[in-house]
Amino acid sequence: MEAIEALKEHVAHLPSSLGSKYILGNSDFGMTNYVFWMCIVFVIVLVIVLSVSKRLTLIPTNKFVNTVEYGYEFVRNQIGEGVIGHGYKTHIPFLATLFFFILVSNFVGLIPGCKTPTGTLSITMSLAAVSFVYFNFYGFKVKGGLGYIKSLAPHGLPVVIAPIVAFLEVISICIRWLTLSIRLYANMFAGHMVLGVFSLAAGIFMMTGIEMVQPLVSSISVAWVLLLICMYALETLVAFMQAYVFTILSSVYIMLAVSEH
Amino acid sequence: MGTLGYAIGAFAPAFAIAICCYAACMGSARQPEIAGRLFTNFIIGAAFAEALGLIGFVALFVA
Repeated sequence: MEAIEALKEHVAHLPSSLGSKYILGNSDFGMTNYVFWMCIVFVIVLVIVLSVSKRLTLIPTNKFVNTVEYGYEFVRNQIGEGVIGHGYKTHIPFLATLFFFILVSNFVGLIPGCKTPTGTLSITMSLAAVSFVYFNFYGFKVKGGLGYIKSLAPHGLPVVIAPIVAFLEVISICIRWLTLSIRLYANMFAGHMVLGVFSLAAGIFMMTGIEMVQPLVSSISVAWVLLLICMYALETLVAFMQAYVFTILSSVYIMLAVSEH
Repeated sequence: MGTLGYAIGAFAPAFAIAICCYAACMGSARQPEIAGRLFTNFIIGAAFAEALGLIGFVALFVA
């Protein structure tokens, strides 16, 4: 029972340990640990993509190059061509950038000691803002200013109902920004909280068992470690799924903005 | 109290995603060749249903 009490005490401090901390400067001008890891992820993505693009060959010989090329083709065929359809090639650089950045930042957070840049709301919100501005910009560009506003309400609606439908559509477009950012943040944050609770539990049960000389309590920590490994595998899946979901939803929004109906 | 409210709010999106997943699995089993497109549609449908749950998640922090 002492172990559970100690666990409760430690878990209460967990959310604050996942919060942003200034490692440079102060709140006026500075850099938080999440922004620091975001810069590292930028460098990793740049190094991976640039080094691979130099070594592309017609017949793949290098396994690493082939893996990254598969990732790019996955974005192009499954996400770009499958969702946007006609004229998808313009949007592939943007979608591939989003996909690789989010994928690498989600996976960096799985390494113990590293922080995932997408585990804070400010970074996911700015990613969602980029996507939001992008699809609205292309909507305006393809349909023209008036055409894009007209396309908010479907053709042939009565004059009285059209403004109401357009108003609802504007709300749903604005909510896309919120949902894109919250989805990524909540999944990453919740995943790291669960991993944190399980690893704390494993350590605390082991220590309490040794201190109180209760082998039974210590042996429970083995179960926690097994559970932790299972959750870690699930988090690896979630890290990929969230990158995929963010990219595919961005491409759906682009498709909705540029399609002719 | 807020946590309980969010638990109630997450109820309907959970059902909605479950129905999406059920339908996608049934469709894939009946016609495996379009499983890829069904999966995309499943993700999109689940995302729209999940949006309600996420708004509840925000309301938990705001309220």
